[in-house]
Amino acid sequence: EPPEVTEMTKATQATRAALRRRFLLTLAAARGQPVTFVLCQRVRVSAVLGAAWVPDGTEVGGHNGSAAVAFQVDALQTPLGVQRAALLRGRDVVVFGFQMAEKWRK
Amino acid sequence: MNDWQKKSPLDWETYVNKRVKVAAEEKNEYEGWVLTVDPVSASVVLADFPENEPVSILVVLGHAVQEVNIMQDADDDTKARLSRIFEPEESKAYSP
Repeated sequence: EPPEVTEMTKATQATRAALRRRFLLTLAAARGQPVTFVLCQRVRVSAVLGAAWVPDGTEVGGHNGSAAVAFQVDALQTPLGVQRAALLRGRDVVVFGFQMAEKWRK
Repeated sequence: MNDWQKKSPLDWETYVNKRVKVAAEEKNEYEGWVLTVDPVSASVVLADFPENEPVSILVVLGHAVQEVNIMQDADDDTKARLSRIFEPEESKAYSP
């Protein structure tokens, strides 16, 4: 028996989709950009974002959810030198940031 | 899983288009306009518009979020600006 689809469920799903869409657009915009990551212990590293892996939601559950993201980066600048390619675990990342121009602005 | 990650999409939606202060792990604090909250990872996407500079985007990962405090509601101009940041072309403002 499929669960009953209530108005509340529909509203939640529509909101979920809109929020998720914006998040995926954010990741798409960050691709290929120079990105600064703040890691545990306030360590800052810079790199070019190659790809971000985020689960579709089906993998979450049971686990604490924090392993839900990973970042593939190029030209990772570390105190030991530049790593040509690297994978950052989501749970080691506190925040990441990048800049983008507002092309549409007059 | 922290309290922020346990919220529902309808809860997170109330933060969109608000100027917030996010307290994150290890005494990090970030401020900006909320573009979205990823419903899967609970990551908060913040935008800021520094004068004469490109838009600054910050993504605070859901697992690191400790507290989010709303400071201000966006005016119509800011809302329009936020909604257009990532849209491929002209599109309507976000309204679920």
